Amino acid sequence: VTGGAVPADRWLAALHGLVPTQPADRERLVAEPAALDILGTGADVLQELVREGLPVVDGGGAGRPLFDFHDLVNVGLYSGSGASLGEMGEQVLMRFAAESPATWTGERRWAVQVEHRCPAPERPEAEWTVARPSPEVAGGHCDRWAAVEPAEPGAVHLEGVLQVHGRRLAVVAGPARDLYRQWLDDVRGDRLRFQWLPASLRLDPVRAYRDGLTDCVAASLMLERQAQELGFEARTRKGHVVGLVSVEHAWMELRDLDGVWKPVDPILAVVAHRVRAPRPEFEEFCLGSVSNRVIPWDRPAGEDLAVHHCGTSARVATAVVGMAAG
Amino acid sequence: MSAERSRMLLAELVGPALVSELEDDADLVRSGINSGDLVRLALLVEQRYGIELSTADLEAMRSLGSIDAVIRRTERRDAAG
Repeated sequence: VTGGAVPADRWLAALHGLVPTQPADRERLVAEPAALDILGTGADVLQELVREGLPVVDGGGAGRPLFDFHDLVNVGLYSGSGASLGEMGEQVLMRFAAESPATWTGERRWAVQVEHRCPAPERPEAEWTVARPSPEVAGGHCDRWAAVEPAEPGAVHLEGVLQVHGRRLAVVAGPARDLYRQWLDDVRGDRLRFQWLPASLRLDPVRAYRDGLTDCVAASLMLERQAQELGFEARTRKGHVVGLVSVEHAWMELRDLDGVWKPVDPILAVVAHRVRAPRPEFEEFCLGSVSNRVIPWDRPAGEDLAVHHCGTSARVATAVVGMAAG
Repeated sequence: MSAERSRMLLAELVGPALVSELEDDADLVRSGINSGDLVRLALLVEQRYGIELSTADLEAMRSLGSIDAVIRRTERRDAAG
């Protein structure tokens, strides 16, 4: 897949707008082949980005440069090439926002399979605590959610069939509506830059906000604080946006004046705008409504979807390994 | 109907060896095609055939056979204007 001829100055503008990952926040370094895959471009562009200041980490003295995964994704995200990892995911997952609003709501059935894998199990046979999809928070239901046997050591596979009920609601409380609008303005303007953030930063929403950065997790955690300061009952929720593939997502929920818990999700609205012009109704939809293409979990934004009680401090990696619309 | 068009495109992405082992109706994800390659395949289909896939089209793309069926259906839809 190529994004066509993207002028070099577009790549350099994306680089110059990048807020690089701080060394202490780095999670994953990648070598050149993976870097080119993430950027979706050729070695000449990568070399130019390096010359212009893309952070490079010495790969152990072997003359092999390494790059921060998040830096690469975030340069690609703003390149306009259409062929970088982040852009491609947005293109396929968010195009529903440009389609008929009638398709956003109503019942949808999803068959989902999830893999949790402990990266360093001290005791592979140790017990697991796993999250469960919770479409019932919006009127849906989970027909079954069970482990698939046989499990591999240090991993667990779960699968189920979910009925997700998308419905149109609207937040009516004025201060909550103002808060949402402020976030839209901040992320679309210069106050906050949307980037993929490493876990240590996204779980520290005050630092991210102070640094002018946000993603869905940092935004939901910060919105939760701000909504509570305004006097609302507020919480966050982890979820997945699903379709051809799936991507982890998170949002804030607050109890509105009518007593109903409703999602407040400015990041989904912003990301939809990054891809192609969404339907005008989508911005209002993200303030209170529930999409039938978003699967909620029974976990808050900052929490992992699984814990392996093996004694290691390493975080469990979760991947949706199977997804099909019913 | 065969799935030659999607088979050719997927081979460009992951190599002919893996693709030659795939049955037309095999689930791509369960056959080891990762999500990145699945997305690339969908976008490559749009690029090569000059079509625009809807969300429903994308969700139907689970196997090589279903992708070719989507291509045929979309071409007919576009031709009908």
